[in-house]
Amino acid sequence: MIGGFESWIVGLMAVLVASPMAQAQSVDVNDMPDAAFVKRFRPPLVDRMRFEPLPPDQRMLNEPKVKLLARKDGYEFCSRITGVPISLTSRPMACAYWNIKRRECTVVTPEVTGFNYVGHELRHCFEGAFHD
Amino acid sequence: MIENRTRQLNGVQAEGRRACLQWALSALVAGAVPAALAQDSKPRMKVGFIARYQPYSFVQPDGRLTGFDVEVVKALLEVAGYELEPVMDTLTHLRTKLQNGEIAFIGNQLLVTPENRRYFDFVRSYATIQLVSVLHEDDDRDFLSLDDFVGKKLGVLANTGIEDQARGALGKAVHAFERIEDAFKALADRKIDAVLEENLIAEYFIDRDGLPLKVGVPFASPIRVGLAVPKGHKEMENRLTQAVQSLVKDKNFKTISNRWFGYDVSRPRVSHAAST
Repeated sequence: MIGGFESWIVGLMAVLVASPMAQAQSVDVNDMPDAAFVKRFRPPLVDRMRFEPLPPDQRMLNEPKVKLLARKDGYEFCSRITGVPISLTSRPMACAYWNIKRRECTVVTPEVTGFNYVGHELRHCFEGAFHD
Repeated sequence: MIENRTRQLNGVQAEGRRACLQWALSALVAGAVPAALAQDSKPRMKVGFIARYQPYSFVQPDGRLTGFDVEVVKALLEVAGYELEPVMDTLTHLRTKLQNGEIAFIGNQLLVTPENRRYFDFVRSYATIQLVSVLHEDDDRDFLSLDDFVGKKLGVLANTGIEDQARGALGKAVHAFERIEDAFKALADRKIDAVLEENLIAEYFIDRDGLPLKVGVPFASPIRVGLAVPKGHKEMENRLTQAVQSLVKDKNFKTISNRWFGYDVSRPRVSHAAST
């Protein structure tokens, strides 16, 4: 089961290396203009727990083509497509949408994000809805 | 051994779902509109459908009524031992017929708008419907907002809220089409850059016409829709909601959904990671 997630990790690494996120690694996120603001938000409980990935035959998409988009309007986009409002105390920190027939999944984040948010959405790409 | 156990459990679950669906619908139909009882046949229930509403309810060239909503409602009623007696009309006329008790409910999922809420209560939805961009299948551009379409040609259905909103942001770059099929054709011919439309309508026309197009980015949160029951008939609303909730877990629903759209449309197609 863990082995099944090797492709998951490889996909994640490929996506990270190919994206502007790779360049952002040299920047200390604590120096970013909105760092103090973003620090207020804690990852949700679901991101602080270990989980067992679904077996391949039970996944929504087993070998999706994954794209990662880090956008200036990441919060606004995620709020718009999910209906989760942006407030002073909570907001969608990342989101994903997928096309099952084309086996494609796109993860969208703000320009500064965290491993947990990217990982959380990547799990959605494989398993569809797993919370809420 | 384990496989057998799983099979048994699945069988029990499936039976349980079926029983739940029957129970949910039995009380619904007890108080429903006059059902014609033919000898040696199932009692019939009159359900209203919007005419010429592809892919949800429409008449095929051979005269047969078909559509995704038609098949779902047929499946809902079959479990309760009823036969569907469809009544095709415009939404305005169906609303009158519902108020006069001539039909039990409207078998299309209507938008939950303030206007519609004045006349109807709504059953929980069995499909995730969202406004999406449709692109040429070779197009890898990421249009995530109307701002991304500045300088591009965007196709929409004429005289809709989508046209108003798009024109407000993009002005003359918006191309309005009287029929959405024509917008998809123009996109396939690369005369425009994208089309904004509901995902299921787009999926249907792309498949039906074999168009080299793909459903792209969602542009809004899932639209609230549901089968429409007469205002104030909470019992019917609750029973139908339970029946729909059971049906979407049933293999029969997945078969219908796959036949029309190629996947289970009751499942969401977007997700989010929230903060706490």
